[in-house]
Amino acid sequence: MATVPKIEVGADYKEKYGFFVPEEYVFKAKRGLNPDIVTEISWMKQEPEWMAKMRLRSLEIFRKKPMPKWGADLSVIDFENIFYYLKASDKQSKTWEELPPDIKATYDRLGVPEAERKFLAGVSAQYESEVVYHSLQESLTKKGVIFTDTDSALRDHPELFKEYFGTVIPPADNKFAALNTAVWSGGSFIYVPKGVHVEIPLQAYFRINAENMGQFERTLIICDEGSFVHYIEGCTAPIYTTDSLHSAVVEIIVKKNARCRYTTIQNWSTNVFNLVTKRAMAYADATMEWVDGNLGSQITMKYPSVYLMEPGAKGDVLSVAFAGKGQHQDAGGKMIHVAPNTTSTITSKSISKAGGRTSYRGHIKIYPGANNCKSFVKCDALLLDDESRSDTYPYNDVDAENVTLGHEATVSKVSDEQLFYLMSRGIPRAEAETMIVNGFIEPFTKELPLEYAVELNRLIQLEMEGSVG
Amino acid sequence: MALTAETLDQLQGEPGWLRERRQNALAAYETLQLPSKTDEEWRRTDVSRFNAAEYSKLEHLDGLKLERPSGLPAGVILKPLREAAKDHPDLVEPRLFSLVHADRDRFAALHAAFFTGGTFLYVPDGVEFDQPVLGQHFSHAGGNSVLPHTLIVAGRGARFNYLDEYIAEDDTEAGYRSGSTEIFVGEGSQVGYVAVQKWGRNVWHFADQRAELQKDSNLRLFNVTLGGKFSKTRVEASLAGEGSNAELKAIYFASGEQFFDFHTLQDHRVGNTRSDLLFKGALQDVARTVYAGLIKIEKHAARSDAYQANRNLVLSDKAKATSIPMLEIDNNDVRCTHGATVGPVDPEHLFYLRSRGIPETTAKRMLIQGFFGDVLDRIPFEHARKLVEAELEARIG
Amino acid sequence: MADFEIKDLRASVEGRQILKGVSLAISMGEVHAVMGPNGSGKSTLSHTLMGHPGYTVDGGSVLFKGQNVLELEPDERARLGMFLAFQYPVVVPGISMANFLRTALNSKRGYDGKDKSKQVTPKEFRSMMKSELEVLHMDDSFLPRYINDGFSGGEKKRAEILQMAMLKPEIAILDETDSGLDIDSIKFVAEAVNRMRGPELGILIITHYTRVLEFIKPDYVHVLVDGKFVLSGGPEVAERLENTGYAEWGHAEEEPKEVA
Repeated sequence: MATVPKIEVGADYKEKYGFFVPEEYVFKAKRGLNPDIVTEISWMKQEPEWMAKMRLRSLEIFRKKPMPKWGADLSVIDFENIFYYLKASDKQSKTWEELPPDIKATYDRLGVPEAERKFLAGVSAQYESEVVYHSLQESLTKKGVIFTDTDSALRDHPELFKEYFGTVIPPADNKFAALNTAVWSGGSFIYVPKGVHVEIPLQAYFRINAENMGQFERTLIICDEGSFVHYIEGCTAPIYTTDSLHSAVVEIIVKKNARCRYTTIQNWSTNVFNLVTKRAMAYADATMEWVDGNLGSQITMKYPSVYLMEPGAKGDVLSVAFAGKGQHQDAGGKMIHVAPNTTSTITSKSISKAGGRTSYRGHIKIYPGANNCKSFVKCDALLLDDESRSDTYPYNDVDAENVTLGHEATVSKVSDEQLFYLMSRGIPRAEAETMIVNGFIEPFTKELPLEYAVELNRLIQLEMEGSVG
Repeated sequence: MALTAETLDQLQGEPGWLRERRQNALAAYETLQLPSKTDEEWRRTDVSRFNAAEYSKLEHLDGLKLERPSGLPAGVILKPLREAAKDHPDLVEPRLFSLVHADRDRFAALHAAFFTGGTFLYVPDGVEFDQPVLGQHFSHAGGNSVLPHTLIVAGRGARFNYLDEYIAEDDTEAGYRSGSTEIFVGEGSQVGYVAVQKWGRNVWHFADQRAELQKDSNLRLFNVTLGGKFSKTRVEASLAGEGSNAELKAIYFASGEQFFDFHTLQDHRVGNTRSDLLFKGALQDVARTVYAGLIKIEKHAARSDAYQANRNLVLSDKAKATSIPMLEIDNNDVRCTHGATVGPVDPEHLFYLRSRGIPETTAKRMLIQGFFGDVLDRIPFEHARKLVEAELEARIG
Repeated sequence: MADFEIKDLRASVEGRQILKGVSLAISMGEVHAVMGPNGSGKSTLSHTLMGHPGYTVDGGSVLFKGQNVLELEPDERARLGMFLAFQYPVVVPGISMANFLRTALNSKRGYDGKDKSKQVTPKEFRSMMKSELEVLHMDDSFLPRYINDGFSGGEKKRAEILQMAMLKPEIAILDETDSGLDIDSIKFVAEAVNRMRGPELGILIITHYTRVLEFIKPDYVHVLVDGKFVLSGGPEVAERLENTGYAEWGHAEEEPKEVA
């Protein structure tokens, strides 16, 4: 994660960019999920009526939908024992001393700066990057790019917001999308106008506050025709939270000739259930790329998908999952070919260690009429010991003509021959193993901005040493 | 009329244990639900229009022709399964339906309740012979049920080959067909097994082929599926002994409105085992195929190698192939790879052949034959190889 | 006493005994060649010396700098000063040659991520690399490439020699470094090895064919047949093999000359 200069926060930060809280209202956080709480969330945020109604409707859908029976065991989630909405100030009640020692140790070993680690641990609400963010905002505004948090976007860009919100992932899509739509807060909103290329990656860090590290954040990105944006969320250092459920929704619209890349490094602390729905619609000759790394959480279920809506659209998923002790990473990707002459690739790399379990779950669907499509899936799994487990569940449905579809997968341990070769050059066993694992995920790492790549390699090193909890 | 307890009365003269087993299977059939569309195994496989009651007449006994190789070594038992159940209960009773479970689903139950023809082959310890045993299962008419079951027991160090051929006298008949097989591959034995399914093009076909391999044994199982309007075949190998090796190969050719479904399982229960699966199919017209295969490496099955590949050659714009190769790996000291492809004849290859003056249809035929070539070469014995080649040639035209 | 002493080495692979008592003493500055037909135990010798986990030592010792290296891990042997140029260098995807070499150098210097004074700095690494590449007439285009990934046969062997030049071993084992190479590549590799030859390096060349010995003149030649040395002597042994092959030990079909 990039180290950003520490600057004093401007006094008007909250009013300008942050979340607006009416002063006369004192919100008391309540556990549980019911129409009253949902109405209250919407009222608190002073949302338009359509959003309040949508939230309530989504709550109904959430209640009716059964829990998924596949994937990880989710039966332990107690929906009635969760705070669905917390003010930022309520979230900072922890102190540094209360943090689990393994999290503190990891920050130490990764060399995360003080201010940053307090934020990551939820001890402070803000990561002090105000000025960087400010100058970035100025240059973006000149180009007509909107980059703000999702709550502000609803308030400041109501038309644009309403046009796209919930169109890529409707509430009825799945149980957790319904939940998110009912109780969402925070997340990022990005609009890139026609032909505009945003040269530097937009990082959640630039405008980070406790809100967008929320449990139910909602991200909406619209790339207008011929535009380009790269958005990065998360960071390599573990993010500590006491919330047990994280259920985000990310919707992306990539219009004609546009390209969007969305990079995630998920490293929640290992008490979190991370159940995320991510989907993009790619139109004519557009490209959508998901670069998705899952290191943390207890359970992750996440399958970034691309709907290839018009000819020439291209979808890519590149994902890495690392499951250590007690973790289950159930990740993968979906490519839904709706239009002819569309192409997709999914590359998945997973590593299981110390009893961890990784599953690749993917779906390639080629609709009738979506002729001349090509899709290729490659999954490689590395098992580092004999307690760990790896599964591969690819579903391929081809309903169209002249389609070429390929799927290849391998599961193996670290090769003795490779290990011997490195060791024969004087490199100690543990280091050689780490090098091989880092080499294994290199196709992923090389797609990351350099500072993230370096940190990821260090984190893998820590994971390999078993010093990460 | 339906397939009921009265139908069982047609099967006279069976020992009590078998009769009881059939009744239990029938009871299971009656309590089991039809598989639902949400059930992963059946999501793409529509059995809603199958009505067993339409085929309540059982065809049996005369449907089987067993070719006993000359000079079969002493001790080898080869006879119709129902006869063997009477004559050799000690060999048959403990094994029959112990690999292919009657209560697995409705169709397995139906088969276990009403199976008729079929072979029992027992090869004692240390007995080897080269000439393959041929079992031919015939259906003479439509509208009925032909449900053969083959039970093969290979003793320690036995070595032999067996062929099941399922033959329809009338290719247009409608009916209910199966062709299930249980193979006990004893320690150190080498078994070649080939099943060629050529039932009529309007039948419903359900088959379970399952083998269990003991220490250091070797199985080469080869499935050819050509017939049926609907064919569902499960091919499963359970590697229960160290050093065992299962080679599972299949060829299918689906045309017209045929629908084929294959589910495979390579279950590595112990270490130092090896399995190699290759299912290759061609589809034309509006045919559809589903392949779903699972490699399962259980916790203590270290040093196991498993390979799984499904290749589909889609020859028409309207044909549809679904391929789902799955892995569940619970041990790290393994080598597993799997792959699946679905695609048309490579236009570059076609162009290359045509550029040498070969007409398109000939070129396509050559490419299809080439596609099947590597599987054909692995068919464990000459007789079966020739048979399959001839069948394929007739299909490819 | 010699600097590197193999005494009565016996080793097996998957329960089959391959080396049946091999003894050999190498002193700094010497070049020894071990020749033998297929299956004689040549690659078992090289792999056992370097500690490949697939080879089991059944007896004997290998003394180097006062230690029995058979008791050491492969990386410890390398750090002690041994080097094996592989017959089939392994492909390791995702790790660049540059990263690999730098990590190996750091390991050799005892840098474990803490004491920065032991670290090979990027600048130092670049200059070392540059001079070695110049000597070897190689360009640096392969440095960003993954370890041996997509390398031609000749490139792989050159990369092995480059590693040897960078790591500066005291005992180098060249395992069939000539196999599969055309005559120009053999000459090239031989020149590089000859340049490194000197009082600080002992070399053990393992080869089936005599050809490479025309370019790297050995001081001693040992003939390995069925896991034992059947003949040891000076360069004249290679000449004798050149003429008569391995026939006198029952390997008539095998020529010690490679037909190009």
